[in-house]
Amino acid sequence: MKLGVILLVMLGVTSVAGTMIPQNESVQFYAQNYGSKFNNLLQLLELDNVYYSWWYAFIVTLLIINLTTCIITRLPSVVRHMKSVPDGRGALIEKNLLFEVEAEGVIENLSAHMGFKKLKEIDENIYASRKNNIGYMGSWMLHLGILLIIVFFALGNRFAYETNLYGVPGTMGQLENTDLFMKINSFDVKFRDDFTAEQYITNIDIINNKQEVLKSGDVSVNSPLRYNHYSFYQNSMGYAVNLKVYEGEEKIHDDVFYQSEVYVSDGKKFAVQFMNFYPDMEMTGEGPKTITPYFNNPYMLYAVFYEGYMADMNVVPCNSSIIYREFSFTVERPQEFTLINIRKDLFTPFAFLGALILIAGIMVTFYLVPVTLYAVKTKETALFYICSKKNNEMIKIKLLLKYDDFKRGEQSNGLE
Amino acid sequence: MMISKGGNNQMDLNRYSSIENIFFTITTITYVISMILYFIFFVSKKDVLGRWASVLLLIGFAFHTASFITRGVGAGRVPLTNQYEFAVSFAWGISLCFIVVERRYSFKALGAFVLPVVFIIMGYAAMQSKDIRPLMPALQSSWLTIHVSTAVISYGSFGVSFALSCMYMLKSYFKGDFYEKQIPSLQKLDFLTYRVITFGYLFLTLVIITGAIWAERAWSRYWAWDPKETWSLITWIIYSAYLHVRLMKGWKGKNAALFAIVGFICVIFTYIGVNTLLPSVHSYVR
Repeated sequence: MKLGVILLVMLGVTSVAGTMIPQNESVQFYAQNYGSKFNNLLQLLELDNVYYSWWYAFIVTLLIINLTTCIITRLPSVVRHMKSVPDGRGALIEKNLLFEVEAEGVIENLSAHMGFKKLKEIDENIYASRKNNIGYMGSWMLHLGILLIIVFFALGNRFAYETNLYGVPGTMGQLENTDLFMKINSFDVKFRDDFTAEQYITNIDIINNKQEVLKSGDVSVNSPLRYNHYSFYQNSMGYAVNLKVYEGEEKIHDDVFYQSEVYVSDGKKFAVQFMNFYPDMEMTGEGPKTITPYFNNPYMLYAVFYEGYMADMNVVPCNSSIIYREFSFTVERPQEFTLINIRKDLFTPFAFLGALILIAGIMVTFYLVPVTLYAVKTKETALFYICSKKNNEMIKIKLLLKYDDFKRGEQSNGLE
Repeated sequence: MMISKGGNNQMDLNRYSSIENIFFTITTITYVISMILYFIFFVSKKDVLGRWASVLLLIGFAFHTASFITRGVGAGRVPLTNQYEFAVSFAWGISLCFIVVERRYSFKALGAFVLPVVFIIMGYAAMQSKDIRPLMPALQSSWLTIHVSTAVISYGSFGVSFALSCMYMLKSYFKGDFYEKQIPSLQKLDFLTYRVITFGYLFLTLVIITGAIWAERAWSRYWAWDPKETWSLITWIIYSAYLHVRLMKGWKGKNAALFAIVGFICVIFTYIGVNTLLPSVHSYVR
């Protein structure tokens, strides 16, 4: 258990590195920002990918082993504690005594008022009752919850299916390594008066290889479409144009050209990169900017590469033609495209089950403390001994308040 | 493309903003006076001052709540989405937790330690932009309310535990009649810190879980090692370690108090630092 805390703290401390050092950047980025010496150390310790590094995985594995061992070894004692019956006089001298009070009148009434079930005689003139026995399970449940979360998160990371499909309305693409297809029927961006995006909505069909539509519906942010354990998420959007490329008089390319894409001609002699797009362009001192998200004055920023070298870069209006040596190209029909993220992680429900068990474990551990009441009858009166293995001040205060409350009730009944 | 009109119009918004500003100012002033009274009460132990401090705190809290509601009505959404709103709700959470602890355990002296924390956070809020901006699509979810509300309660509890731990450290390091009389026993402080942390821990766990459920719906992954997520986890680990060693090893005293203080520093960093200093999907709150 001590090792468990050490491992948990180690995970906490090492996780800080992942938040301070930018993750998954290029080697050049680290060399530029941290110098070559630190970069070498960084690459060696995989600090550029902390949460998936060998040493982080090693700590997590140790924690999984520790938690599993803890859960297995503690289960018998937890069950034993839960099922155990208070025994005889020996119990009265246990060190876990919270307090003792004198009980007058009918002791069953007082014990019931304090929340205990029926008293059972365990020895001559000694009665006992227990409550919150499930409290013994709390810590065990808590550990089980953590274990399930870690294990199923790791399994999800390893085995979950994930892919992206993007396109303009009308595009259909196959989900990699499956028999499923996704068709984009429409894509709308809902803008507010101030031109901020309120919602992105893509309408899609999920189709099988017999071209049968299995499911249709809208996908928007916070509202994924689910089909047969696959979830379709609205991820992002961008701009696309129709690109026509000519070599001399011959048309060598005519297709949708997406933002950030690079078109390369067959002989790799000529290439065009779609660098940026301005739907409603205005030229400012700082360069081109867009005033609104509407296609009022659409411009595109491109770069041309010829024989491997950048030859030209410019911002041009849509529907214009650009000529470079024997090549020329036109960009037209600007439109928005949508990017849908598709994920199938069969382990997610189990990780959330772990989260539920964790929450239940915390509540049981801290709010359902197991308590045993011993009532010892004498000739004149009876004594109540309240014991708990977790010497909890809170339960003591609560039970004493109930005791006082009961006594006040008894007194007022007596006065009447 | 569609165009929609979001929230109230500009005139309404200005009116709500003015009312909210008035409430915010009254809240801050009332809290400051309450803080001074709590402090004088702590030094002098004059009950009447303690009573007035509590009354003023309740008045301040009422205005604080009113300011919060006014902003929510004006914005047409739950006001829990930017650095100003976070700070105001954080201070509100600490005030609420303190009011509960004060009433439940008759512990007025704690006010002298909690109110300065509230005051500093309100001061930080005052320095932030109060502009009401419409929500980005990822934030338009009912999980926002659940996620941030649990965070407010959790962080509020940790704020009170921080004040309790400061009192503990003060009493541990400074001996003498004054500290003996003015500060409750170390045992009581330790016990209260534990209780408050237990409560905050339960809610912090809920914060992380509700955040994960929401992230799955919005970003497809319930955990993506975003700095905000990671720092919440680090905070959770610190408090887990605190509760673990306390329950299993009976760890109490100065070390436990120090742990609680470090935990709250992590809370502050998670709450404010990560949003402003680290690149994160939570950076929209700047």
